[in-house]
Amino acid sequence: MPRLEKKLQDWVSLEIISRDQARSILQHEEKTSSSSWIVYSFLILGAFTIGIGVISLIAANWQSISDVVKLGTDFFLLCGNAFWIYKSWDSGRRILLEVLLVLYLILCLASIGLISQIYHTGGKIYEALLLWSMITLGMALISKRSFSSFLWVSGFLIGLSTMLIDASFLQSLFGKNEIAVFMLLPLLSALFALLSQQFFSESRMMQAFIGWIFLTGICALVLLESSINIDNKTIYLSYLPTYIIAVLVAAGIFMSSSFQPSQRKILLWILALFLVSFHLPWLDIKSSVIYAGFTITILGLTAIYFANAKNQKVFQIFLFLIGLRFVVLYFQALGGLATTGLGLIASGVMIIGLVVCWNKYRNNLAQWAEEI
Amino acid sequence: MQSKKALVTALIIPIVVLMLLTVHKKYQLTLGKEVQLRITGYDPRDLLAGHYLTYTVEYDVKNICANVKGKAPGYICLEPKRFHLKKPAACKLFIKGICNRNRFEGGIERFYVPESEAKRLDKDVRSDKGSIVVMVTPNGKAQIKELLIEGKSWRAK
Repeated sequence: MPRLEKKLQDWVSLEIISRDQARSILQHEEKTSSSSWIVYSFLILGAFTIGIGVISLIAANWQSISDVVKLGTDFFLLCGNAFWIYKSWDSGRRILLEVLLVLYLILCLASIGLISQIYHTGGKIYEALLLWSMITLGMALISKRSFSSFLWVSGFLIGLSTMLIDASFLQSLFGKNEIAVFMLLPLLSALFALLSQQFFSESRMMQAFIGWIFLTGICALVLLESSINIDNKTIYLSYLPTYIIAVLVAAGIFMSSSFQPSQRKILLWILALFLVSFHLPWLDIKSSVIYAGFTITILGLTAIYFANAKNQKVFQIFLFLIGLRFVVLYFQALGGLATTGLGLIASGVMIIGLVVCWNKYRNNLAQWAEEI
Repeated sequence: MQSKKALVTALIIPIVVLMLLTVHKKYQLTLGKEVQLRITGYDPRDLLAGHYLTYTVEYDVKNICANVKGKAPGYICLEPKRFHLKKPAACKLFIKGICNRNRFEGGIERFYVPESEAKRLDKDVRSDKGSIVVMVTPNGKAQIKELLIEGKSWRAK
């Protein structure tokens, strides 16, 4: 807020706005966003900590407490939390409601852990996560803030990806081919994001899935680049699900009315380049520069997409990632130089040069991308 | 704005499903036939559910999961003792599981224990003093009922 006050004072002194307007802006800002965000963040942190505490208590597996008491207490907590959510819904206290939703989500997961502990089920972690995702989907859809949705989507996607790698019934398809699974994950996230936009537009699910597209996409590209020199036996069948999902995502991009024609083109190019980059090992291409070229192009197109969608913050994050990849590429290509004094000076000059260029041209770049 | 009905449904579903899961697990313990099997193993920790013993169950059956690549379903017939890759039609009592790189997993390879008891039980299990009591349903689903140390419940010190 002090930063805003300083800016408002500047604008008043430059006669851009009147003193009354400055006062009105300040009053409005004090009432809304930032303070509630801080409160919300701390309350979520508190709820999260309580949830972890409950899980730790369960994990301690106290011998002196009978199973019936443990289960009874657990269901009492669940019911109490559910009732409190119901009451908060009635009273219209949105922040409290969101905090209770987060707590409820974690308590449900802890309850699965408790049942697993008491009955010694030999289940896998992905089975617990997928069961949790199924039973708590409704809660994630009700939430109007990002954290509950992001928590749910994280649990669901981690469960799904672990299942793809670990489940015995998928062994004939994926055969522990992690690269194929990582290639599939951003596309699955994209498909779920498109479905969420279509069917649950009021919830925050779409934003959470979009977040995971980029998290898993970047992880997939890093994994691909780091495994260039590992001779993996290519299991062609494991790529089949990716092709099917890619076709569905492409169809979704075509049919969705929320993209402009230029945005559609960019997204389809990103999709195509992403798929091609994962097929470079099939052609026995081992040059790190070619892989880096694909990564930088994908990141660049994504930055252009976000600038075009008028999302300046994400645009700048991707510009930063491109810069970072360039620096890594420099060390990959000319790594030996960095061990010499002259090489270090050249590296430093290059980093400073990149930062200066980025600072100088970012606005022009954003404007150009917006106008595409 | 969703209706209140949707909220109530979303709140009730997890509680009902978790209750049904609890009842199902409890009910499974009353089904089938009780079997005692020897075990050997070690003590890792589960992030979600805490300390547990994990062990190899000694089925006293030859060629378990032999020649199985990757993961595939498997069946251990307990009466008469024999391993099968397909559901054994003539077997009266069998455990259904998964062959994972020549190791049979019947879903009974872990037993949750209190943190304070973990060390003692780990030592006992490593010394081949342990066995588990499992309930085996007619369709081959096995569920642990009790951990025995030298033939007695682990709770009896």
